Amino acid sequence: MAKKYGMVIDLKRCIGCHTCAVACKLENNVPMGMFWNRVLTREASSIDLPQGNYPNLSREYLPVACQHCENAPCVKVCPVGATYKDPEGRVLINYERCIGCRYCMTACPYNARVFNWQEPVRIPAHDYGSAGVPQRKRGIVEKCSFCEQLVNAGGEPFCVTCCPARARKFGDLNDPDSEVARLIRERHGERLLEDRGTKPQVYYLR
Amino acid sequence: MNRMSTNFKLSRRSFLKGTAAVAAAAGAGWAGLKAPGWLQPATAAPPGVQEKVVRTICSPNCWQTCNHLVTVRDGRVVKTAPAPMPDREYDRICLRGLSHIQRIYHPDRLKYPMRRTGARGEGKWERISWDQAFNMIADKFKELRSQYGPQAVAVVHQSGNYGVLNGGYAGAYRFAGILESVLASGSVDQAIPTGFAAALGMGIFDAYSNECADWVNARTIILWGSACAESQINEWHFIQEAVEKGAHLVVIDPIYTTTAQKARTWVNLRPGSDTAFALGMLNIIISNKLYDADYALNNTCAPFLVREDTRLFVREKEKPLVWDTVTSRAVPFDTPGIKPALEGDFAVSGVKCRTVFARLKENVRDYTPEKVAELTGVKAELVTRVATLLATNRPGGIKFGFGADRYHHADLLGQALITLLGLTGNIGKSGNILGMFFAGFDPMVYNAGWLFPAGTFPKVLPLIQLQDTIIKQNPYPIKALYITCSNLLVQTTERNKWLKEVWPKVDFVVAVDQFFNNTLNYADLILPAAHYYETEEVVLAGDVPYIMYRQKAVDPVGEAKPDWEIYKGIASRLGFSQYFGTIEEESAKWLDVPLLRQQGITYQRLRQEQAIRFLPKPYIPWQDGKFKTPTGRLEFYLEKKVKEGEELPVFKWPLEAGPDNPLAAKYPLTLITRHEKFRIHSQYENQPWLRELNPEPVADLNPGEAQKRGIADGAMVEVFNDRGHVVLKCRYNEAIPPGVVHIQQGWWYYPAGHHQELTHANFKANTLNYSFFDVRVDVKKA
Ligand code: SF4
Ligand code: SF4
Ligand code: SF4
Ligand code: SF4
Repeated sequence: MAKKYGMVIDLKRCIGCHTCAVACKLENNVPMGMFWNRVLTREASSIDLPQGNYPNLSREYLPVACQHCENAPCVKVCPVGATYKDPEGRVLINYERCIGCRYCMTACPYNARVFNWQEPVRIPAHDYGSAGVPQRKRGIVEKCSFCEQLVNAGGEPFCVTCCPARARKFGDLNDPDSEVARLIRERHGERLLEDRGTKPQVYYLR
Repeated sequence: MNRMSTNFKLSRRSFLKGTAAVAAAAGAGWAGLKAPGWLQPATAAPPGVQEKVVRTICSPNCWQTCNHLVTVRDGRVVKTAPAPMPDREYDRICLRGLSHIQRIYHPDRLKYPMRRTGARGEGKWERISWDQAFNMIADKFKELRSQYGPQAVAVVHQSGNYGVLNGGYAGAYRFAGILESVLASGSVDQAIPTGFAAALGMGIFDAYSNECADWVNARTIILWGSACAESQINEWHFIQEAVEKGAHLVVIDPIYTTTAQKARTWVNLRPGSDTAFALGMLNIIISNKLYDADYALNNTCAPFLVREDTRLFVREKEKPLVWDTVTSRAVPFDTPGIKPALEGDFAVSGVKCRTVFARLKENVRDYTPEKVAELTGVKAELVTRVATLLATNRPGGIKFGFGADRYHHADLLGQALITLLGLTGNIGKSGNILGMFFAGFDPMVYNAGWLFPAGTFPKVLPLIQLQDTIIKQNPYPIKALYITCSNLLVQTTERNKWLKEVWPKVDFVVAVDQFFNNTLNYADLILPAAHYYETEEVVLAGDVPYIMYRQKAVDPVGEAKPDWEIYKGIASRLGFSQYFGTIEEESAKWLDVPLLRQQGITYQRLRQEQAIRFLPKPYIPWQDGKFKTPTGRLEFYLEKKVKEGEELPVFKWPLEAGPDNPLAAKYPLTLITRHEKFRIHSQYENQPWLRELNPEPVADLNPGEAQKRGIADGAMVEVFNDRGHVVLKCRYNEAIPPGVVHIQQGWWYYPAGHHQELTHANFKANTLNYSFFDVRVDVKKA
């Protein structure tokens, strides 16, 4: 059977440290002002703020990037076929084709995509991250690729490599023996906004 | 039912708010990022790229010393990644380590030596050459040394780099030793360890705990004033793994930190009341007989007899005596075949005495759960629960952070914690945690032969005494400061005193750093230091059990130099060049200590392997129950503190923070300045990616406290006391208890004032430690 890449994020382990968010920016040459991968704090107006009243409090973090939906609305609405589902189950963008209409951004219920409103601004000014990360110009949309350049070379997404809490796992959802498949089974992985029928390939453990 | 989807708003607005990136994305604001000129378009990727990967080390004082794989493309760093360690559980990196490319190539990076041309703090500078800089320093030092003696110069260092030669450790010691100057350092993070390590007979930063990898075997873990999931991010997964195996995690912290959020039991005690809680635990453990009597009798000082008159041990030829219940007489504690009494009043040669254990029992008797509840503000039931867990759900451990360390009597907490571990037998077994695991200084800094090759020594001055020493010009006539690895004016107390009383007394301030931080602004001569990736050397271990070697990944930016080269440049102009060989030569000599030699660890091997384990695996000290004290027992009874009445842990409210403190009427809030995940002390403060997440300083206040003062969420406020003030935005934050205002430590600049204007330098003689949180303030609308 063909591969279907997916990710599992253990929210019990996650400490909201944003290491995954920064790792993603570094690896994928993501400009200032943009995150492909963000760490939300539940119901908070500013990061890290808890819910409730002192001392009866709770707090939960939720790292969110593209969910690589099996039934991806962004793929369906793209008028030029720039966004596509690849044979290994990833939702990818052909940046050469993107015309910047942003239909995909409207269609995505997870707000996973970002738009280059201006010439990309980078600090430092040189390109960083792995070789093989595609260039993106002003006027096009970009997002998480499950670190295509690393995975195709036999590696894993950089956010998975760097997570200090070891909260993130990556693998083949179609292989019942993979760590991700086992975790989803044993710990009843949940998906975001399941009622939308998008069938995300990112699962969360709580 | 999928609860997650409804609870997290996935709208664009909440996303952006959630990451605090709203200002950045909108192209507005950039609060805290002062130079919009940084924002330059990216260059195109060059064709035919050259790429190499170099293994090196990140080493600020988070003490996690992560080994990094650094990708260099066409001569520039483009990526950092965690390097594989000999034990893969120590593979590590964090958000700050991933932002190094921004630090190295930061537009504000200091690239050349510069000399002040305007008034101090005015910000007018002129570029000079290294030759000019070295000559200026050498001439000034010569002049001062001949007029006032070598102690007219003070080398000041803090913990900015764990590099051996370039960090504040061995390199600064040699430089100061050769000059016979004053060496001002320390005074941070050392109160709890002072009380804790004394019982073990160890130095305060020695390897006295089981290594982190063994913590996964703990069944009870108490994180005491430690926000480990934020301040030591890479230690967290070990604790999490223990929890997944069923460990009970207790977090003791007034603030609802991310770490507290992960606890099964959160003890939200009143700031500064920690020792009362610990005494309550001791009381429960003793009165419910939950202690490990065998361990207490055979491995600790619990049965030692203490004279009622002098409160010193009853001794025979130096040896403390115990009461043998078989023969009913006092005998040396190590007499074979005896059955010592744990409790009881006795008379030895007419002198009344009782056991250490009996004295401890009496000392803690009043700390009933109800009394502790009153003092600490937590439920009485928590005292019993936590004490019972530590004593019965074994193996267990206590990891202290430095939250509770920042109060005046924190050494007493250290004494109480080691007593708790000793009485419950939580020492020397897999799964025990003894305060903190720190492998770093053990075999190395103590290479005194290397440090002081000329037989001349520095005058070591605790940093907390530097201000008064300079103001009084006594005991040393300090006229010049050489500040390295330290953002002094941001990381020490009483900033106004520095600027108004100390600075006018010094003729010459040299500061070595990578940026115009808040200290360099007030210097006379500033020197650009190389980044971690821009030099090679041996690096102190921190919380990993390895000797490690840092490789140079790239040349320094601009004319920046490794600290060692700077020492060398100055020393050679003063006629001391023979003591400053190449980094390679000196690293090899420095490593040549018996502990490493015995294991065949040489400089050549280290350069090749880069991380070599030098502690046994697993590292579990004290398995034989023998300690480094004179008796070989765990001596939690400290005879040297009899004068203060602190030979056993007692509870005393700190200087300012106690609820009934006289200052409380005028200044009802206490100030906590904790470490958060966005910085290591003041390092990484100006990293643009980290600023996207954490854009500007805020005063976190419980909404109740803010509303009482008519302060709206987001309004500008002034935090003030008699010593000074700071102006910043207020943020409503329910994680902060009423009665506390919280500001993240390490911010360089505020709209006005600085949080270190509010702090004080009052210290306890035996700890010489800064009490950064033992501070009262109030807040008003700005
Ligand atoms: S790196 Fe890991 S622990 Fe940190 S926020 Fe991301 S998922 Fe959570
Ligand atoms: S998360 Fe959004 S961008 Fe990603 S596949 Fe689903 S709909 Fe498309
Ligand atoms: S998989 Fe790669 S691209 Fe996607 S969030 Fe993680 S680091 Fe970013
Ligand atoms: S800052 Fe500390 S934890 Fe982060 S990468 Fe550097 S050494 Fe590791």
